[in-house]
Amino acid sequence: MAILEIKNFTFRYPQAARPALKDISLSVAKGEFVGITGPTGAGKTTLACCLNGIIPHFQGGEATGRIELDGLSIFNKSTAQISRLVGSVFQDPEAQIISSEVEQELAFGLENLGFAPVEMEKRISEVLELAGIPDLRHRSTIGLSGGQKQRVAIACALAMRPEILLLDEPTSELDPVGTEEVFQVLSRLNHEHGITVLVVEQKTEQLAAHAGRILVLDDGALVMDGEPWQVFARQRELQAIGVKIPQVTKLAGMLGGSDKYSLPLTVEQARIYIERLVRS
Amino acid sequence: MAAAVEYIQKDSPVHRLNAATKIFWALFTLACGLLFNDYRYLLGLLASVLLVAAAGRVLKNLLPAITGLSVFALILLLIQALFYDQGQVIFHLIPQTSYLPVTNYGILSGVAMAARMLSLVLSFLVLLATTRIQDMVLTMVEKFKMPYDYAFMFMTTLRFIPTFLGEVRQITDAQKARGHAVEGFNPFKKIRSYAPVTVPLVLISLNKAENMAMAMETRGYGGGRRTYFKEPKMRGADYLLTAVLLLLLVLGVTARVKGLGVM
Repeated sequence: MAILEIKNFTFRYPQAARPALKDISLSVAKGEFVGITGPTGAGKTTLACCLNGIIPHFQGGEATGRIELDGLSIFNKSTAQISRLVGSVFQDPEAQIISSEVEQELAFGLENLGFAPVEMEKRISEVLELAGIPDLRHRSTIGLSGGQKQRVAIACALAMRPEILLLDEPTSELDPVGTEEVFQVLSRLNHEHGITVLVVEQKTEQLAAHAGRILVLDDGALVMDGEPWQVFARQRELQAIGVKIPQVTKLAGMLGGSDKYSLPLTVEQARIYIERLVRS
Repeated sequence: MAAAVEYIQKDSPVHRLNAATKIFWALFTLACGLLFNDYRYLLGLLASVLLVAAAGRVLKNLLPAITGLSVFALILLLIQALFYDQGQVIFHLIPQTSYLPVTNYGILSGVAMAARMLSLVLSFLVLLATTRIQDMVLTMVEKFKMPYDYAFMFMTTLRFIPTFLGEVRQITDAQKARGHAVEGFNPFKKIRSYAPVTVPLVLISLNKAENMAMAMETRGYGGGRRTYFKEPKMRGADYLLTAVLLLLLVLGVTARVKGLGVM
């Protein structure tokens, strides 16, 4: 069942000569883990903003086409209504944490929507568990590491029990350890709890390892859409656009790999692949 | 001294009290401090404030502040003793002359002034040390009907101070690494040399503010009626203490009207 349906969606920022998104059509099923990648300026963030209601409510612009969440168009919904359907996590871990205490931060969104304290308590302990940070509950948000801050932000988004978890470059300001922490949590949420994850990300290494489907945007258009191995098999095209290919995949591509079994996406898969290659 | 004004997380009877009760207590102390000018009353008031600090287990944390304030208290005492010439002369500051007489009333009114200053400032320090800012702000919203937007603004400002201090450090380092020097004794030059730090800081702040607004937007801020996760509740002890303080205040005013506690 499609949870998100985008039909012929085109968007132009006010005063911009060219549209930032051109005729995008796609559908995401419940429980998918979708990675959205592309070079800088391809329209990834714009697409994310269209999904969580920042566009057109917060930033203006001119949109045609449809975006449907759970069968309903999102354009006549307020951001507060959309916030219950799409949980958003942004790039800057510092700017999206509003309170000085983790517990209060988790309660913020629920307070805004007017939940009863008993329900808040239930959801807060639940999402702390989901994000793997029950030990951070009573910590101050100021002393947290970048990875911890982003996991708090994920927990905050989950507290609204959204249909989709949407992340816009959640790891761009994190070190490799923090990046891995965030993707581990996303993977677990997706696999064990069936949460639909949409993540905009330039780090293709992580996408290849964790996402079940990858979308590539270039100059506002959706140019590729498929399983990671299908996308990363088109290495020449990706290089022309300026999308980084995971190192192991690149190596295998040079060695002549081109299908699901001969195109490793992680170091572990590459180890098996090379072992087989050496033996044969 | 700066550290003394922060909230100190501890479990004590004073910490458990409602913020409203503690705010009322600080205002009560302020009222009593202004009502009386007898040194005995004011010393008693100071002792009561210290007792509350001890009950809140923050006396030790406030010690640096108390030491700092004592210096001012001493200066107050000296000034008062020097320039108050009523009462019996005990001695002259310049011996064998009649210049700068120090009188018994002068010393006592100096003690009163010092005790008053100490109790007023300390009561607010105890309030700040034992009450979370959030609780205080929530009390403002709940009890004094301050709009939540203002309360939110205030809390967010406090939240972002460390973030911006970190930004300042980073920008300063970056500019230093590129050979920019903040130096010289000429104040105008010094101000101008801060521009390479200030301009990026303002731009970064604007950017952060916009990002924060987006994050708030996607979490339903301003979406209608708000609830509160931890509404500070007034409990038995709070009602009792408020009643006792109110009674004491009435007694104090009556005493003052009858001429007690005035030198």
